[in-house]
Amino acid sequence: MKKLILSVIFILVSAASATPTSLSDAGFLRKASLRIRGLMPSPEEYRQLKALSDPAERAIFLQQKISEYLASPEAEDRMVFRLSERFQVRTPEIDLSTLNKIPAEQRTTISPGAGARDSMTDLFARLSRENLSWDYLLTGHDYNAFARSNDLFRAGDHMFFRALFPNLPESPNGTYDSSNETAPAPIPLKFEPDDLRVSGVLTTPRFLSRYVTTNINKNRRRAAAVFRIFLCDPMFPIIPPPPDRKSAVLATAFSDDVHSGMIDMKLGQKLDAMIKMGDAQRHGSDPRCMACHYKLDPMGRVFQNIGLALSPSPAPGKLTYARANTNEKIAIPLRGVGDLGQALVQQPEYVSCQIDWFWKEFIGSDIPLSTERKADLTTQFEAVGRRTNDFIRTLVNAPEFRTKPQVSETISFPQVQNLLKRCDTCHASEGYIPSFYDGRLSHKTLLGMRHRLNLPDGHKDKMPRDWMKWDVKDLNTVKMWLEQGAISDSNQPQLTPVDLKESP
Amino acid sequence: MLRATLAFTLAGLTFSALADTVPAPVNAKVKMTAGQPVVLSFSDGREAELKVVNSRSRVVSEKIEITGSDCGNWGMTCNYKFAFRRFWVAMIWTKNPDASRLGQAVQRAFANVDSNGKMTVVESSFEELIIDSGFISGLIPKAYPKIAAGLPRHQLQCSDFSWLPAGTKEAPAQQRFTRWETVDNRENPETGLSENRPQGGVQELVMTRVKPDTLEITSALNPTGLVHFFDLVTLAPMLDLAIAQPDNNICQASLSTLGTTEFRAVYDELESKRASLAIAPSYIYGQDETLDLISINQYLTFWFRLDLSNAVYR
Repeated sequence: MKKLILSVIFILVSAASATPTSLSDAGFLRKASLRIRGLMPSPEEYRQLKALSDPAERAIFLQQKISEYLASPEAEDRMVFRLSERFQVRTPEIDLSTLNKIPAEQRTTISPGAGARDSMTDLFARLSRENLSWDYLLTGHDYNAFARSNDLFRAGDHMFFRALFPNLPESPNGTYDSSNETAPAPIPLKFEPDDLRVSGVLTTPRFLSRYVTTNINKNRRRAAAVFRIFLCDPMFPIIPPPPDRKSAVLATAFSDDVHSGMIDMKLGQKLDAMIKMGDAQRHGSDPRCMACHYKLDPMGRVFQNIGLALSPSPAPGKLTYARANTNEKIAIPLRGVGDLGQALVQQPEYVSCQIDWFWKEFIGSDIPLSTERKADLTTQFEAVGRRTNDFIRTLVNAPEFRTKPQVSETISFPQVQNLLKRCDTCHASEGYIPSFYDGRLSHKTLLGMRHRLNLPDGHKDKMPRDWMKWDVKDLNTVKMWLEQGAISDSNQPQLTPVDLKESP
Repeated sequence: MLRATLAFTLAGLTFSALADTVPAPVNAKVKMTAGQPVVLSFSDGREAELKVVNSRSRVVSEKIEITGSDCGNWGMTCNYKFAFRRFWVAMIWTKNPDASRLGQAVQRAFANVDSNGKMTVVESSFEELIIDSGFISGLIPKAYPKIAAGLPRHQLQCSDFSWLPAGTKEAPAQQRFTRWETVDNRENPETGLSENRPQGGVQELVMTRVKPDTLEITSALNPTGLVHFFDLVTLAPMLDLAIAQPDNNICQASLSTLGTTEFRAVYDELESKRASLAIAPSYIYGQDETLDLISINQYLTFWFRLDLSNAVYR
């Protein structure tokens, strides 16, 4: 009740101080509905809001709607989609043929097909449905094991958990009827809270299948995913993607597998030869490699026993990294993957990373999050016990939530990628310059490019050549990209302010 | 409800030129009751039964190379010796108005419906509901006491065992492998990209010395597998092993099979046994562990839990 009163007061204050850059109540309702459950408010909800002239009544109405949205099954579905994207797993399939038959304003769900769950998506949904602590993603120790799996090439929940729950049905029994849509009820599996063999989403078959391990990879990909998702350590490898990976979008989406060009080539061909040459050892001692591997290798060890199935035996490892600001070395021994989850949620980097994610998802990445504001939100995150819906409510009621969207003028790499492809038509044959399209140009090449694009017309080194007939707008886009630091496909500036201080 | 509606709707659609030979979509149901044949029945009255045939056992020995080990040395070659039987499982027509189909494996295809509601089935898309690459060996006899009866244990013979944590040329008295999995290059369903992925394996595999140069697998637990694994642990280009060290830490080793010539030859030789499916007796649910073995690989799930609303059978 106290929470509701505070929220109402807040909305009243926000509404009273609304500016041309802040949302109206109707805009707020729309944004809250879309961000929480992925659906527009119904026409009836707009009418109800419009009918309320008293600001206090409107504030109460909006709070009721937030509660309603947070408790809706659509909010669960939305959370499943958000986290599927964050973990880069395949999102539940949407039955568009059914969905499209429903007029947009009458849709009560975004995903009629999203009900098909597995232990991972079920955990995602429960964060929303049960208002669980966000930490449960890492510290969860109970699962729902689902029998249904339409995919022959993926380990299902039963296969995955059977080693620890031998009573899970080994064989189908009874009758399968293709006209019967009712899926078997999931089987609840409970582990002790201190069980070293499980760690929330990290010990689900889909996470482990997505971030697959091999005898060479040795679980580093899994560790990289953990660092990226939970500590916001980008873990961008220094080894370029395979030469056939022409799409920077793909390379970004699957950045965790950029090593695959080296280690996941067709078996029985170059792999053995490569190992014999000692690349594996060199990889383990090169300082550039070790910048990541000193973190990845010790963490990867906790996954060593887990393959297609969860192992009865925990494997020890270590959580190792250096704090960004102080360079303090963190080295926490882990008795198993269960310890990893427990250790991660105690790290300040974890809290910081999760708040960044919540901010981006609910407030929007176009609204900057200051250090002071982040510290304030950290306090509020802890005050609500890190519970998912409670923190979402906090964000929705934040003043920044009412800020109108701001258009970013930063030019990203994908915006210029196809333009740069034109450079490859001539330069690709030169050999000594990497593909412009791939975006992995050296510092020197980028500086040279900036210089030549800005030469006066008629200069012998002027680029692009007249006969290329570049559109002025396109050319200006590329120039602007360079002046903004030539943001790479991993969102990192490649030219420094010092570089840009020099006249082109 | 949705599926039933779709099936009803589809039944009223016009078939293409293949309509005369292709039955309309029907609902399929598989009934599995202990002590009874496993029956696949259709809403139009047709029926098929599950049948299983086994080959005789054959012994093969394949070379494998230790291609990497952070437990010790690597680069040496070993022999992996095992015996196996091959089996086939199929749904065989027992009731079908087309007499020529009786005794044949059920074939299934998925019909395409164009924007005008016209339905077509591509002849070449029909697939037999048959499993033709099943194996049973003596790897986990406890799990399969009936179908693995009489099959000897798997053996690994190496002139140099220093790739194991003990670091000795001779075989250690015992070695525990917490994970033993096959790896192959296949599409990852989460990303759509092909990559090296574990395909199947066992946990807590224990090898015990039977000779100075030979270890024998004396126990293994929890067989798992996707498509191409039943209970053999070598049938992939590469193996990924997690090996328990004396201090309870884990180290890893990778093994590559140097071709499976001998195995393939035996495999092909046994192919002729498949023809006897038509005359095999009905498989009685629970008579042995064959269905358990199949279900580990989710074949039945694949067969009968897909969206079958536009499936046609013949």
